[in-house]
Amino acid sequence: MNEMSANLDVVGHDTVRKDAVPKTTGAATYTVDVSFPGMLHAKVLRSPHAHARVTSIDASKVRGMPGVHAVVTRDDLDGLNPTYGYFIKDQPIVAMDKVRYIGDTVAAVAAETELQAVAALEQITVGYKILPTVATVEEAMAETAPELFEEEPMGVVPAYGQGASGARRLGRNNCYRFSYETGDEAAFDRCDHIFEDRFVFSRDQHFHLEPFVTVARMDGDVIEIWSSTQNPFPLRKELARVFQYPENRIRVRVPYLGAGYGAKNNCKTEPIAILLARLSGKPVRFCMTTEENFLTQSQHAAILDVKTGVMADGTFVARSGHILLDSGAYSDASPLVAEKAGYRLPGPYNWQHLNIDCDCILTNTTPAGPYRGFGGTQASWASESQVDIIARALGRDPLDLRMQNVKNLGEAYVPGESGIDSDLRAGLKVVADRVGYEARSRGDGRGMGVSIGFKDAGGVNKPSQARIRITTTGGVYLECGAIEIGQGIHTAMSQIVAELLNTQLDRVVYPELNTDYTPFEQGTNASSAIIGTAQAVQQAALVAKQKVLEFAARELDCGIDEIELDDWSIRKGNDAHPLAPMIMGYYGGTGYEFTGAGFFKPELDHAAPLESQCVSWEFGWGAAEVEVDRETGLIRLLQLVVSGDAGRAINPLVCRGQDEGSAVMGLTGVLFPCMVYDGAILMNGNGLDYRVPLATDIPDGFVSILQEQGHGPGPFGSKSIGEGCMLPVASAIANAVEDAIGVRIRELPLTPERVLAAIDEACG
Amino acid sequence: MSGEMAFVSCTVNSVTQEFHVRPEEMLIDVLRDRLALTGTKLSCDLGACGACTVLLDGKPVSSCATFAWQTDGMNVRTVEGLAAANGALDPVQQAFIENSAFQCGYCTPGMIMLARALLDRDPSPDRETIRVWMGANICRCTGYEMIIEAVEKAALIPLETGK
Amino acid sequence: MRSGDTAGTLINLSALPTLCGIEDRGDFIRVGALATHWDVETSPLLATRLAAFQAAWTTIGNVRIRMTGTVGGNLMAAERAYDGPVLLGVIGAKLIFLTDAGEISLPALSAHQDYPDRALLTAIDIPVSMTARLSFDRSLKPVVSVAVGLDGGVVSVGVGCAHTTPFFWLGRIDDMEDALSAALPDPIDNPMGGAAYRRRMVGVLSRRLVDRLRRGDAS
Repeated sequence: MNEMSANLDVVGHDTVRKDAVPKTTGAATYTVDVSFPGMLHAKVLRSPHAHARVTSIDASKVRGMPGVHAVVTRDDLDGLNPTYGYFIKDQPIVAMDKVRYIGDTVAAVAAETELQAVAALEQITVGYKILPTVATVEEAMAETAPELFEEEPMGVVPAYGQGASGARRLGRNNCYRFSYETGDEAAFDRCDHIFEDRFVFSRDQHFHLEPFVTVARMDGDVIEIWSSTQNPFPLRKELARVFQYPENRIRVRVPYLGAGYGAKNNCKTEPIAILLARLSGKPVRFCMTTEENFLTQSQHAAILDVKTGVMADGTFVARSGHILLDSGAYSDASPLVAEKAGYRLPGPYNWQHLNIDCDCILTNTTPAGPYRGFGGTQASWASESQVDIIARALGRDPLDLRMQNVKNLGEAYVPGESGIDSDLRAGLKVVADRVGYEARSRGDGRGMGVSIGFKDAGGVNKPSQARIRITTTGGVYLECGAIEIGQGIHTAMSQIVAELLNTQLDRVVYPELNTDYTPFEQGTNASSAIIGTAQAVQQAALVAKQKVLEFAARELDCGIDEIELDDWSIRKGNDAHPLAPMIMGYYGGTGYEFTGAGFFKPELDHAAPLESQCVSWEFGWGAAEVEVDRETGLIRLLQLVVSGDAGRAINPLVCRGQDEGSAVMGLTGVLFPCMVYDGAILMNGNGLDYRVPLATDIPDGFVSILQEQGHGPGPFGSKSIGEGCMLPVASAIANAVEDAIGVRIRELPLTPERVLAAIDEACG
Repeated sequence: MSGEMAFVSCTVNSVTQEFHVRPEEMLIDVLRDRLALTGTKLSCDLGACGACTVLLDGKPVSSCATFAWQTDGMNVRTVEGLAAANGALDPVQQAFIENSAFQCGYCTPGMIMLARALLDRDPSPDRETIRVWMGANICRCTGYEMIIEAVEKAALIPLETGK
Repeated sequence: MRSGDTAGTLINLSALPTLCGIEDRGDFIRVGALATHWDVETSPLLATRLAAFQAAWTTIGNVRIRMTGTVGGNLMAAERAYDGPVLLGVIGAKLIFLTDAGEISLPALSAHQDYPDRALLTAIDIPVSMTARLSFDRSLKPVVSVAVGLDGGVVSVGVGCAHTTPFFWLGRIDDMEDALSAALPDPIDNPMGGAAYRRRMVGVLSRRLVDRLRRGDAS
């Protein structure tokens, strides 16, 4: 099954996950399980208005209520930098001058029980002066629209390289624009055909089952938190800025995460938990409800205008695009998502000219932030839908047209970029063959579609450090900041280390993340762990191994090339020399630890549009077969075939789980209503009314096929696998719908009502 | 009872437990806060997602939507009570481990209890039966196929006797 | 409950076994209000005598909900998205209430319009007929669901989800399409589902269900 792994003992094998027993016995500790004697519970008061000036807040009645130990309103922020954000620091811990969406945080209380905290919130009186609301990007961009921010919040535009640029406040409620341009615009003039389409992308919510949650306490002068976070080190830096506190007096500890899918980056429950812990002098737990999750973070809805010029023979020539991201009420990660949505809109095709703008538009809705796929989902939806539109207009098979225009293995994505590290045609053939694309029978409302989901992986200029410690008896500490969020990274990293050290997998332990000890990591995001962090881990393991070998060669009085490390023994010819006695002989009976440090970061490179070349390119090939009910508009998914390229799978079974999980997550925005707003009011923001895919929604024809093409930059040729397979799902299904009934739908989700309306329109 | 505490005597994982509970106190809070059985996870708090699934006299129920007083005289089983007396893991646990049928693990205790309830009723369910039964609980990570396969596999593993 | 609701008086009805049974009463079957969906799903009596009803009821919720949720609870929750009222309405079931004035019986078709005061739902009587048939389509939930009962030339249509309360129409099969459309009140019009779409789907689904019953397909 995996020829490349033939000579490897641990890598490439379906070893049992390191977290298997704790997670199946209930022993695994998540942040929700962290508890201290005397711990208080925090609850927050949320705005009932979508947009209002806060004229007064009176929390005086709360102080002294039973069980209440601390209250926070805007009057309790002395000495703080009370706003946070990524590029733009516009989101306050609690409302200052205004509230900007229904659910915006206004005040917080810590009490001995959650019920006492809820009762206390009811006694806080807030005066509001209602302001006009903008619920959609169109409303927010209108000339007469009210500004969510009358003054420009503090923020930066980072440096960009060749062809890329950023700007702020170019229009009403426009908090950021990313632009990318290359080649000569005149390329459009040479085209035989120009296609212009508008696509609309739905707004999912992450629906991570473990809510946003933090437990905070003061440990002497150290702020100590346990938090369900994907990026503890940048979080520590942001908290240090907000609280005007030294970074090394803030300790972030991260137990297992009940998933995140992007949501658990940067400040969520942390600032309020810390503030209440400081005010009360007691440990404080702030755990949101599912309803509050919906009021805290969402995916970006998007409108994507795409203009593409092609030659009569189907050759792609030029593409321009204008993307509008619905950022919700605060900038959050929108500028970063805009970079990626804009940068990924071209898709993995050859172009002579590109010109893309992506605007982040603030609206009076839940703040949108990182979500698996990170702009790539939106871009792939538009790009891969339009490829089919072009193919049908030219009388070409959509699969063929892709084969004609995709980049070759090794070809630079755009000028200054790294080369594509998967064989795109081979990948596409895998899913097309499996779904039965060439021999498909149509009629009866059935049809098939294919798509190539695409994104860059590894983040931008993202540093990772790692440390390997090996004890006297051969126990290995694997220390790095990649967080076990469910993707199996503890297992994969441990397999890599066990393989490199030629030792048994169960000798490797992966200590819980603690920013006091764990080597720096920018974050568990951007599909970066296996191609970035793992390179640091690999280096650390090899450095430690080299130290062991040098020590043993000296002890055995031989050359280093005469010996090998083998299960914490030194093999020299036919003799095995156990290391433990050798170490104690030299370092003393109390033993010693060998350590190795590792580091990885892409080089800064001004020729690269995003200032460093992309570490790797992540793909998900998808093929779908649907049956469309022409009377109701209901789409029945008959087959969904997805495939990712793991380069070399460190643990194939774990990779399969990533492919299948991301594909099914991608179904949410296609077949289910997603977040439905009535004006600025979210209609379905709870666990009963919000529909995510269930086992019963998955067709028997759902299958994932893991490819191992061997070109990845990670250890043993590995590549990222966590996001690729969600990217092609929407467009593959919409393409299948057009194949089935000749109707093109450009707006997600593909609800029956929308599909039927499109059928009506096509039928005139 | 009128706003008073209710007396509850039930068996949790084969151990008799007695409590005075408020009428509105939910089973999950008793399990997590009083018995420190934190394997059972709270998520949607509406009985929709199934993360809090435990067995009540063998039936899978949402412990977030079950009043503590409802368990009076009944047997409650949580993920912590699945392993046999000799420590051997339940076949469902074994199969979830061998099949990597979990990722973040937050839904996993509930999924495992749900699967246990199925196999207690139907020791060799077909795939469609498993799909429909497991359709009660939400997993946002796996895409479900590996969970369904794990339940198929669990049905083939003999249950340890003498628990 | 976690947000601070408290119970003033707590009466544990589950201790009353008479509310839980499913009994053969000759020309009808009495289902206790506290019978769970699972009791309905697994009742040998219903399997023999009301198989189509049993099959339709088994599509409610999921196994966790069916094992705990009760038939009476499904009705009295008065949730727009719940299927129970529609299914019971189209097969001519009667709701039995215990009131201060003794036991009263109300048709499931109309009971939801005006539940009696100070009353406890104790049972649901479902008529057993050799000729009546039932079919149900919930594939477009939560936008609309439709149940159809057919007995001879008489059809009863129950519409769920589309209005604030269930809507029922009874009439002759031959003029169902026009008459149903004329009688149907304007459905809810919101971003979850437009009124025009809901209305049109009531027509499509009811026609399909009737055709299915005429062909003799199972529900």
